[in-house]
Amino acid sequence: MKNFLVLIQQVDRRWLYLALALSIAVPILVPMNLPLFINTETRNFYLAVDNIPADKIVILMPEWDPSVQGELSPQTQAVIRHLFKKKIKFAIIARNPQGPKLAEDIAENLSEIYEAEYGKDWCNWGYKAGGVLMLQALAKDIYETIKKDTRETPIENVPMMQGVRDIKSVGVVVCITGYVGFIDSLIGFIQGPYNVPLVYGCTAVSAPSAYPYLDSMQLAGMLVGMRGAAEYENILGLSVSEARATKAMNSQSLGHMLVIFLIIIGNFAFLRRKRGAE
Amino acid sequence: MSSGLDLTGIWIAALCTIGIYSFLYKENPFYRLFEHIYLGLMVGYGIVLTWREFLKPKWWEPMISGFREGNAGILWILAFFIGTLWYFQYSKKYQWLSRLIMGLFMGAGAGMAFKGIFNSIMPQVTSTAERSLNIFSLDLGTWFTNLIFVATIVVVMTYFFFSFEHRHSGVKITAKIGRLMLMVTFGAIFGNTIMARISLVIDRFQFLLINWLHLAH
Repeated sequence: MKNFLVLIQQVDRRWLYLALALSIAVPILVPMNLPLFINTETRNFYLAVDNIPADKIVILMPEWDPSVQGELSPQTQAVIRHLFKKKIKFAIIARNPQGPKLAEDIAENLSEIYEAEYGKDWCNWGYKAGGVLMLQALAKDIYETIKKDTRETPIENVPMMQGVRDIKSVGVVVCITGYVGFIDSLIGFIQGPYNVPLVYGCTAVSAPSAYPYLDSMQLAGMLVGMRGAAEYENILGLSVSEARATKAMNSQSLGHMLVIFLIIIGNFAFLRRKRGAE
Repeated sequence: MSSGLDLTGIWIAALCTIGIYSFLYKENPFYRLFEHIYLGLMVGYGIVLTWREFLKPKWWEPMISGFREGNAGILWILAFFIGTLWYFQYSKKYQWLSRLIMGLFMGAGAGMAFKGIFNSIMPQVTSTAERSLNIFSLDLGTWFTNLIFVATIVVVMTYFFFSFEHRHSGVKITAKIGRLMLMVTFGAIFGNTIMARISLVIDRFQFLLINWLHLAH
């Protein structure tokens, strides 16, 4: 027993990595159907997007880069599917350089499936520097702040932008990001002063700091990591081949079980050895 | 059916993923190579985009047109001189010049932050007050949640009250409960962190097993 406790305490970390890799790979290779429940914050996110008036557009802010792609790309895909499905017009804009291109690739691929047309159903305003100053200017005058889309078309000539002059024409702002500061500034300079509904797709790490905004209703809804994306896919009723985040949840559950098991067994061994030493 | 270009992209991405994950076995030059490629790409892409999307249309073009047509756009040249003040940080003799621009930015930043924080924090203060007032709400679930919420705020704030020593047993116990609540919060954050990190690994495994090796659908 003593040897076993010592072994657990001194196991090479690479064996743990291997165990985690297997717990993730097996559910991908052998499909499982573990249950998935839809949280209130995900449902509220969906409703905020679903209920926007027909004459308003959605501002989609995919402010993520490849380092958090695993969590935020499925969220962006699910939201864009929803927007295309409901024929809700949207514009992509981000305050980080990579986000607009990554989201445009997703929108390009999905636009073929949903027969959506660039310029008419969606457009890309691109990366915009300037932080909160840019946000304030955008709220007051979209044409003057954006000037041209990423395809060099003057923004007033983009068909879906006819009559969309300022923040009053925006039904909901969707911010998908791993940077907590980005959502703080949107609350401070867009949602607060102009009372525009704001929904937040975040990495699981940044979720705890955003929950107070849900309680105070500054956020209309929230997607938490890959789980949030999977729940959104379930609400949308996507097929098995389309719902990549849902499939990933089996690996997620098995990975969590392994981590919980390791925490319990590691603490058990630590405490037993400590008691033995005393 | 993937095109040749897609296939090349998939192979490059797979090699990059394996290269980065090889660090888990041990530190090696293969990992270092891909780490530097990734950083270089990010920085290069950022610089090009900042020029193309921001500096060129908002500063360079109005300034050049100002020079050509003799209009007020010419004044944008001042932004260049003001901007270069930042670089006097590298000069011991003229470092004071960089403090001018730093002060300007700090002042503007503080003003902006105050406006932003006021808009983001005030509704939370109101929401907390509402919860405090609704603590005896008839709905048992809401009542219990509000009770935990308000009690947690009080005990955690007591823990962070450092103006006097926590000697009195009432304060001592309250602060201890506050610390316990903080531990629960850190546990929740740690749990979320595990979820986030595993999600990122799953994404790469999906890519390797589905897109690259075609072992699953």
